[in-house]
Formats: sequence, C-alpha cells, structure tokens
Amino acid sequence: MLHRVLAVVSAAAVLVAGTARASAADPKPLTYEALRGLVSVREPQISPDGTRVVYVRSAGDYKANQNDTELVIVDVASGARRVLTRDRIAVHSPRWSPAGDRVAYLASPARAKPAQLYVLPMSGGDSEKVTEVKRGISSFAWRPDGAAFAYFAADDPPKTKAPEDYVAAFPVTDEHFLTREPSRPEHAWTVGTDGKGAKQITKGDAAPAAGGADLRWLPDASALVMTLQPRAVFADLTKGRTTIVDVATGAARPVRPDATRYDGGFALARDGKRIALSVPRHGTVYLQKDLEVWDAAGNAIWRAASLDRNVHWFEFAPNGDGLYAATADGVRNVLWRLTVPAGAGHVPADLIPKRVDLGEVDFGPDATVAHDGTLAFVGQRRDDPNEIYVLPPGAGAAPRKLTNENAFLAGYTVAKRDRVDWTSDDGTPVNGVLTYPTDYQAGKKYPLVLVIHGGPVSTSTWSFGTVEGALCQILAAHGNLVLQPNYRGSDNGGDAFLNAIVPHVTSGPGRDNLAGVAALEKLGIVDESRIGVSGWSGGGLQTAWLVGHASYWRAAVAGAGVYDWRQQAVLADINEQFATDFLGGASPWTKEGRAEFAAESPITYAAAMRTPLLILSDTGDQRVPIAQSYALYHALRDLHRTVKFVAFPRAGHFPSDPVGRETALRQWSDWFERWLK
Amino acid sequence: MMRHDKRRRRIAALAALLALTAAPALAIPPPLQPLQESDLRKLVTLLDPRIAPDGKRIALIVRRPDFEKNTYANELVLVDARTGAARTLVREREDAGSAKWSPGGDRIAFVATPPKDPGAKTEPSPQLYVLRLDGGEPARITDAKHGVDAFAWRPDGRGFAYLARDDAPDDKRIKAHDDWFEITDNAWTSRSAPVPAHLWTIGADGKHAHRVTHGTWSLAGDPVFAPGARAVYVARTPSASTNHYRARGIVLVDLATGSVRNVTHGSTDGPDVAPGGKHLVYTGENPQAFSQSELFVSDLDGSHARDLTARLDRNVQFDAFAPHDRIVVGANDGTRARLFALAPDGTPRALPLGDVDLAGGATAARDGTLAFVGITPAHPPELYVLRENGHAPQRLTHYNDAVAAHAMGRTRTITWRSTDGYTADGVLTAPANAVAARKYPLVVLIHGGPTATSLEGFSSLAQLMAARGWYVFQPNYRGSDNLGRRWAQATVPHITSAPARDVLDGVDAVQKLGIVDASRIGVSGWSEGGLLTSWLIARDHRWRAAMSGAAVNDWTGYADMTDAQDFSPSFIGASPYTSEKQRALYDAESPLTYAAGVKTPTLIMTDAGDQRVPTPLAYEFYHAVRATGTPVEMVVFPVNGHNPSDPLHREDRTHRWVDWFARHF
Repeated sequence: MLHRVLAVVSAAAVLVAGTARASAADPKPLTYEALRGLVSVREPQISPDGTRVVYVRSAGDYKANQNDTELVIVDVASGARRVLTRDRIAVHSPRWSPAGDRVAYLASPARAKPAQLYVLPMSGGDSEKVTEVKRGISSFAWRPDGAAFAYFAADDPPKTKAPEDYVAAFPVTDEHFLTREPSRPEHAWTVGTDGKGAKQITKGDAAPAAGGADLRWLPDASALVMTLQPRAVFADLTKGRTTIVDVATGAARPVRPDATRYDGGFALARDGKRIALSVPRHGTVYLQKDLEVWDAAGNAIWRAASLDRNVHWFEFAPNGDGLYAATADGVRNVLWRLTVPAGAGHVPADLIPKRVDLGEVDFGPDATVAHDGTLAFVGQRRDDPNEIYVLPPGAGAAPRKLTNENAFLAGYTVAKRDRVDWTSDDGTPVNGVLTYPTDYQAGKKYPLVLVIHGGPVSTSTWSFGTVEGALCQILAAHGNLVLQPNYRGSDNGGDAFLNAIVPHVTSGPGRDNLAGVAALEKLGIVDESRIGVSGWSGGGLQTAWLVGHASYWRAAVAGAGVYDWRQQAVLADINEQFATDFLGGASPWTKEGRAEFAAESPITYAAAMRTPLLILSDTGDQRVPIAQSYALYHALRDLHRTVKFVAFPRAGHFPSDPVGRETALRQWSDWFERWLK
Repeated sequence: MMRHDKRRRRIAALAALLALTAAPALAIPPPLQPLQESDLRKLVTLLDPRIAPDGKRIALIVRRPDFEKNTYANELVLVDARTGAARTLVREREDAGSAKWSPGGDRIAFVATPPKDPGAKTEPSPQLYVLRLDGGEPARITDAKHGVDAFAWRPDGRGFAYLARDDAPDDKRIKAHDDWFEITDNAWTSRSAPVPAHLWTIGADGKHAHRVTHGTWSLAGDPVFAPGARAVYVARTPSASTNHYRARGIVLVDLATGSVRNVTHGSTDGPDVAPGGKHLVYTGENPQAFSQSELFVSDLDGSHARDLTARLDRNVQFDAFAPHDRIVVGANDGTRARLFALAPDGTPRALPLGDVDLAGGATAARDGTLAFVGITPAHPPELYVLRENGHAPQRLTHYNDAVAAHAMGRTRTITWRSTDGYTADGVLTAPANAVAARKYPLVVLIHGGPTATSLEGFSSLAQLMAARGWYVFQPNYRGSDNLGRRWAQATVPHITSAPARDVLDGVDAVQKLGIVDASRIGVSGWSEGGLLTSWLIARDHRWRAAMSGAAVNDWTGYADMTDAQDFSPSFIGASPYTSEKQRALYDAESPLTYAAGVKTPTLIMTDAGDQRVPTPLAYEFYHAVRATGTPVEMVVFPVNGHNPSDPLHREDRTHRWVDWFARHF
C-alpha cells in the first residue's frame, strides 16, 4: 500500500476494462455507461485444503451511489460459484477458519457504521456477529485452534459530561490539515468466537502501522505478530516495526533488535520460525523495499537483494522453503518465487529470485496460498479485466481462470495496449504503455494524451486494473493515442531507476516524460498539434510541471496534484518526511532547502503555463491537500490564463463512490474532447 | 426605523469576535472575588434591541448558553422602557432573531428555525414568524425552502418583502450524487457553489408568496420599501460569492415587474428611507478609505448624494432616525464606542453616555428615545435607554449582575506617539487586586479586524487575565476604526509591519510606566490579532509566551483560500502572482517568512474549518516554528467557523488562552 502513496487507486477502488474478444460480432465502442457494468474482485482466500476460494465481489450501484459488496465462493475444481452473503454492507477481509469449516469477515452493521466481525458457518445459515466494538474493527486473525480471534480496535474516546457528539479541542503534531479528532491508537484484543472474554493485549501509544495493519498468531498461539508504529498519528507509518507480542503478558519484542530501523509489513512462515519483512533499502518506506527473512532469535538470515524490485506483496510457501513475491516489472505485474534454503547462516545471504511464468496473466498482487501450495490470486490480462485465478503447485503449472465476472465486455471494442520504450535525454531507459485509438489505422496521425501515474513509486501496467486504465479506454474510444509513461521513480525497474528520482522529484521525471512524447512523435503516429497531458496526484504534479516547461500542449488535466512541495510537506497526512525523502533530505525550513523545494514545485513556474488547464480535486483530500489546487488556480486566473477548477465534495484522495468516480473521469475526458477536437 | 450595517458586522467578525476590552474597579465593598472562568457560564448575551414606535416597549433577544446540550437558547423578551419589567414572548429558540415591530406597533415579526419534523429528510431552515401583542403564539408566515435571509414590513403592515435563497441551478444532478462544482473565488471550505438570494413578497397572513427577482446576481441585507410601497430598495452583489462583497450596490426593484435599477454609485448597502419619504439614507465605503463606512443621504433616485459623516470621520456602524431630521449613528471613538447625533448638515454631537459603551446597534422611537445594549468597564451587557432629556442612559435590565459582582481590574486609556506622528491609544487593565509599587506580568491582547477597536467597556477575557494578577494591554493600532479614515488607511499596504510597530510602541509606553515585570510579558490575539502576534514573536524577543489564534500567517495562502478575497487586495494590493513586486510585498508582510526567528514559547490555535483565515495557515506556521526547536504547541477546535461558537469550545478556548500564560509566567 505504501508504495503508491501519491497514486489514485487502492485495490479497493478498481475500475477495470477488457479488450474485445476476437469473436465479438459488431462490437460497440466503450462508454462510461458500459463501464458501469464492471465488477471488481478482490481478496481471494483459498481454503486451507485448496479446494475452494472465497473472494469479495464489488459492483457499483449508480442510483444509490454505493459499492455493493458480497462474499462469493468458487469451487477450484469445477469453477462452480455461489454468493455467500446477502445484503451485507462493506464486506471485506474474509478469512477461512483453520479447519476450513467457517469463514470470518468484516462488515458494517449499517451504512456508515464501523465494521464488526462476523462468522459464517460453511455448513449453511446466517452469519453471526461476534463483536460489538464501538469504533469498529480494522483487522483480525483466527487463533490457530479456531476458538478465538485477535483483532485491532480503536480506543474509545474518554468519557466526558459533554453531549455525545462533542469532540473536545485537541493538540496536533503531524496530523493532516483536515483532522477533526485526535489520533487515537488501535489496540490488539482477543475474543472468543462466541464473542465472549474480550481481552486487551497491547496498551499505550503504539498503534498498528497505518496503511497495512496485518495481524497473525504464532502457531502455538502464545503470541501475535504485528507491525507497530510509535504513535497513532498517520504520518508515523514511516516508523513501523514488526513486533512479536506475548498474548499472556503483552510483552513486545521487535523482530529486528535495532530500534532505529523500520520495516513495512511481514509474512509469517507456517511453522512460525521465520518471518519475512519488507525492509526499506534506503531507510524509508517511501522508497524501494526489499525482502529479508529473519529467524525467531532476531537474526537476519536471508536477504532478497538480487530481486531488486519494490515488493508489493509476499507470502511464504507452505513448508517455508520458498517465498512468493509480487512486483512490477516493465509494464507488467509479475510473480517471483524465491527459494529459501533450510538452515540459517547468521550472515545474510542473497535469495535468488525466479520469475513464475504466468503467460499472458498479470499477477494480483492480491493472493493467498493453500496448504498444498496452490495460489489463488486476482489476475488480469491486457484483454481481460480482473478475475480470480488459481496457480496449482509445481514447476511449470499454468494459471487457471476461475471466474468470468466481466463477461459483458465481450460485446465492446477495447483498445489495444502495448509496451513502448525510449531513452531519456540523459540516457536513462524508460518504458510505458501505449493505448491505441480503437479506430487506429497504421499511417494515420492521432491526437496524443499523456495519462501519468502517481506514486511516484508505482507503475502503469498494460493490464486494465486501474482508474487510469478505464480512462485510457475512453480516451482511445474518442480517437486518441494514450501514453502512460513509467518515469524514473516508478517501481518497475529496480532500485537504481526508482532512486534516480531523488532529489529531483519533479524535474527528473519531467525530462523522462518529455522524452516519451518526442519518441512517439518520431514514430510518425502523433498529430503534433494535438497533444494533451494529464494525471492525478503525482501525475497531477507532473502535468502542472510539464505545462510549465513545454509549450506544445493543447490541453491539460491536473488532478489532486502536488504543486507546492512546502504545502504538501506541512498539510498532508504523509507529512514532512515524504517530501524530504524525495527531495534528498532538503528541509523547507532552511534557506537552501526552501530553494530546493521551490525549484521542484510547479507553482514556481506558473507564469510560464499557457496551456488550458482543468484542475480537479476532492474537497477533503488529506493526501494531497486541496490548498495547493487553490494556489495554482489563483495563480493562473490572476495571470488571465484559461483555467477551470472543478471540485468533488467528498473526503479522500480520489472519489471512491461510483458516481463520483465516473464524474471525475468524465470531467477529465470531456476536457480533452473539448480541446483536442 | 433602524438597520444594521452588514458590512460592518462582517469586518467585525474578521476581527476577533471577542469584545477584548476591560473595566475599571468598582468602588464596591471588599468581599468581591476575582472573576473565575466558571463565572462566565452565567454570562448572558443581549442582541437586537428594538424599541416600539411609541417608545414604550423594547423587544430584545436574550441568549443563554446551555452547557448540558452545548447550544444556546434564545428568548424574545419584551421590556418595559420605563420600569424594565420584562416578559418573555418566545422561548427556547436557538436562533430566534431579527425582531421587527410592525408599523402600527401591534405585532412583532422575527425569524426563527422551526423545530425539526421527525419525519423530514432535510434540516429545517429559518422562517418568518409574526407575533400578535394582543395574545396568541407566533404564526409562521413563510415556507421558504432554503430559509429567509432578511425581511421588511410593508409600510401598511399587511405584508412583507423578504430575501430567500434559490435552489441550486443544478439541483437535479446534485441529488443524483453527481455533485461536482466549479471553484471560482470561494473559500477553501466550500462544498458546493454559492446560490443567489432573491426578493419575494408575501402577505402578513402567509398567503400569496411571490417571487419578484431572478438572476445570477444576488441580493443581501434587509430590503426597504420605497414610498408608495410599489418598489423596494435592496443591496445587490454581482454574484452569490461572498467575495464580490465590495462590488455591492443599492438597487431599486419594481415589485410589479421585477425590473431592477441601480440607484447608488460605488460600494454601498444598507438602504433606508428617511421619515418624510424624501431621502434615501445608506452606508458606503469612503472612496479614500475603503475600510471606513460613511453615511450618505441622497434623493430617492440616488441623485444629489452627499456624505453626512464627512465631518464625523468615523466608521459608521448603524443609523437611527431621530426627531428634527437628525440621524443617530454609532461609531468607535478612541477607546470608547459612542452614539453621535448628526445634524442635517452633518455636524456631529456625541450623546451623553457616561461610562457606558455601545455594544451593538441602537433603535429609536418616534420621540427619539434610543434603546441599545451597552457595557461599562465593570459591567457586561445590559439594555439601556437614552431619552431626549440630556440625562445619562438608564439601565433597564440586570441579566449580568451576577457576573458583574466580582472584583474587576481597573481600566484606563493609554496613549502614545508613533514615530510617524500619529497618536495611538489602547486600554490597560490592571490586575484585579493590584498593589501599588509592585510589578506584575503583562499580557498584550491584540484585537482582530483590523477594522475594529478595543474599548474600555467590559471584556471577559481581559478580566479573567486581570483576575490572575496580570496587566492586560489592548492596543488599537493603525487600521483600527477608532480614529478616522487617515488612521484606518495608514496600514495600507503594510498590513502587518506598520500596525506591529504601533503595538510595540504601545507596549514600550506601558513598560515606561514602571509597573510591568519585564521578564513576564506575553502577547496574543485572534485573526488579525493572531497575525500581529505571529509577526511580533518573529521580530521581537521580549516575550515570555505567546498565543497566536486563527492567524493570517501567510498573505498569499490567505488570498488563495479565504471567503473574504476582496479584503486582502484592498489592504495589500493586487495578486502576488502577477508581479515580482507584489510577490515580494506579500512575502515581506507574512510572518511565515520570518518564522525561523521565533524564540517565544507559542500556542497556536485554530478551528479545523476556518473559512475566513484558512486553517492551513496555522499548520504552516506550526511546522515552521517547530523546526526552530522553539517550544510550540498547536490545538485544533474540531468545528467550522472563524471562532469556536458553541459554549463548550468557546469556554475551552478561553481556558487554554489564559492557561498558556499561567503556565509560562
């Protein structure tokens, strides 16, 4: 999750599209109305015996403007599929009981209410609500004997004589600028499956790491493994340490003894003797993270240095002799298997990665592993949106698609997508995804739109699993070429490429993106008088930068962009460290640092911006504060440039409700319809 | 026959909403205790005194905090203008206000929000009610979908003109959850596009609601019927945005056709028709001093306009018509808030208020009797009447006697010369139990605005601090509205640095009195007072502690995000994005630029949703000061608005403000 801090999408808000089946007779062009039929599948949970997969299915209800979620089970052998939950709200986090006889999950008892824990017997019948926790549950784990749970729940506010809805004034330190209540830690609790005997395990200021609070039991149920940050404030997610907490005493022991080193998530071998950690290569979780394997005694025994990709997801193979890791690579999301030798030298040694051949299928990164080694994962292809796949154990096994939730797309023409490569002006090799207009004919020239990903530590892949993917399809249906550049800082090419973004967080990627346009122009397919540029978040930052540094753009759309790094550092939930890490340690509070911040901030170059610009933002964006959009808008308005600023009155970094999501994309593509025609 | 100057009210809101003033000790027997925070729970607010045309009774809004529910309860009270005997007419309405006598004096119209219907999907909005004074509960007159903004009785008492908000033009789309909106010059807290208000008429029986005007422009403030009642004067702004405020002007609306004609020139509002029906009276910006409202008189068509307050040269807060063609206005003057009677030629005469300071508007009866809310240095607001007999005002009510029964710090006015030749003033409040020859700590309390004034009259915050044994100094600085237009404009364009010098000169003057412990001087303020506090701690190091509340720490960020975007260009000039010179000026006048110099332990406070001084500016200053290693704490009030307005958060803010200095002294 951390690797896409300034990106649009989480796995929970996926809009996808598919390519036309070759068989489709008379296919129709893709439209926003058609895309309303898209179904998102996520959190595939394979049963311990590997025979069944439970997953979360989410579809948009555009009338009520909500995402309807349900648990679905699919039989691995037959592909037979049936719905498990009915009319539950915000269903997520399904987990098989250790014996495979029950599925526990989180859901909201009513709209806008916090999540509680439910248990569904697989012998039939209604789910039973296990917890009644005032501020809800964020994460949980079955105890190995199946008789109890551990979970994280936020502390209740202290009781006062004031009215129920009164929130007292409170001090802030690194909170974001929209904060309306104090940051209160979540704590680990245990409770019987009958809902009785709730017991608090952790106490004090430490809180589960924001943005990825996994919770596991050791096999003997004596302790819990969790990643803790020193305070609940979101910005402290950079200070997570994976910790083993004794259930009887609450005593906590970090896996890595060195208190100055942080990590960003873990996986636990089934025997509990080894823990794999996601460890920042440069000390900060905002840059590349590598895998390390530690033993129970606190020794690092293996390090996956050769893999050299930012790891998105990882899990042990069932008998602990291997590690699966998901990363981006080029323009694809891929799966690696790292063999973990038996025994333990105390000098960390390199784990050699081997890419798992999934054919045309891109990997998850949402996956689980059964006891027999079968992997269940969300897979995508260029011509097929997200579906549930299984990968049987054994070398040479091919992935098998279990679901067909988005079959309706067969009736539509879907644009072709390919990888393109170019060289930046300093010789750095760069790649990206090129989407062709649906009516593409070789030899003709087409308008070009850049859709630039955020992050910046992220990757545009050729599969369709993002909001940007849906947008590319629409733009292609409107007759545009679309380029999604993976500029330096993207996590698809290893640490050297990723880290090349430091300290020129904006200007470095900017040159890569300009070089990408030049490379496409050389191919003779671009109408050079009609080139647009756009992006959300880190992509909005790039967009504003590019219109300040080149004049050939006909139109631009900048969504939720960082336009002023100082404001970003001060106001965002990710706070000062994020900016400082990418700007090479510069502090906005020294004279030199201030100059470096200004030099990499698009607002500094506002006077040079002459491209008609559409600015988009949620009003309640805690990640990239809207204050920066106000500043850019005022600058361009006061300079009498063509500028329009459209806001979406909702919280978050991108609208997550179906109508809001579609509206944001419509505003985006309409701007290019208006200016590139 | 009175009205409120909305503009004045708005700028006062930009100032601290605190009455940061102080009071002299009473000559009262010794058992009086110093004022405690808990005593302020009893403080009653009095609003909108409206004297009946015959001068016998006064309608008054009495507002009490409810600390259990954390709300306020408003009562509409009728006070006998001779005896002070009070009778409650309307009980327990949180927002009841804007009471107006019918022309015949037999009814009172007011605006209040009806109780929520349990089955209703939407929150109720304020509606117009009429109360008969011959018995019966108030009858609801309007059913305006988005509430009633302002209203006027028709001169025959048989109907009303009122302003009501339109439906959003894209209401249908918004209801289908497609609720995007275009940002133009709105505040950063906006979640929808502003919607215009337009003119309606309705019978006094609630029948025949009729919409008169249409357009993308908007109307604001109380309408006033023109003689003959076929047309209405009202102020118009070119859009619904709060930021086109300075572009407002008075129009005449024909009630039959809805046609609209401009009547006045320049930035004007608050129309009124003088008795006799021959003249239009209104307020407007002085062309040489935009922050000073002047009173203009013109013919009914707007011609022959003249500035009636050219000689008074004070910022006019309201006007009321008195016998013999005189007009009574309220204005700050030095460290006092006075009533002035203006002769038809504009000659001003201060009315004899004794030690009473005006604390809101005044209304006049036909015989010239004036009703107003006043404060004295040691007594919080009460209702007063001033008759045409030359005597001092008569206090009619005793709502705040319990608060007044404490040992108050004595107040006096201090004056000093600025280096550029102005004589500035401020209010110094002594510790409640000051012993001569001892030195005490000093807290500087700086008012907001800048168009506002610190007065000698009662200030609860200053008295709480005086009760702790501290001197409290409330300076009026250039930009304050207490000394006329030259002083008000002297802050342009050095909106921060110039007033800051005045404050420092004033503190120097207080220190020269030899009564202050120089090792324990604190500085604090809200809004513009917060701006000056942030500035002073970055540029001067005599301070032991500071509280900077809702401060304009960065003028560029302020101009980008405030709901008062026509404000900063007036004081500091054009957009910082259009020239290097303006960029340099905005930076030079912003405390954030100098934050590295802060050495004073500082408390920063802000509301989470401050549309006036945008919340992000507090975060910026906090981070900048924190980076210096200087002790700094930031506290957020999780509410919307420029000040916490609910009783519990208000009390908490006062507590934290006082406590910060208690901890550091």
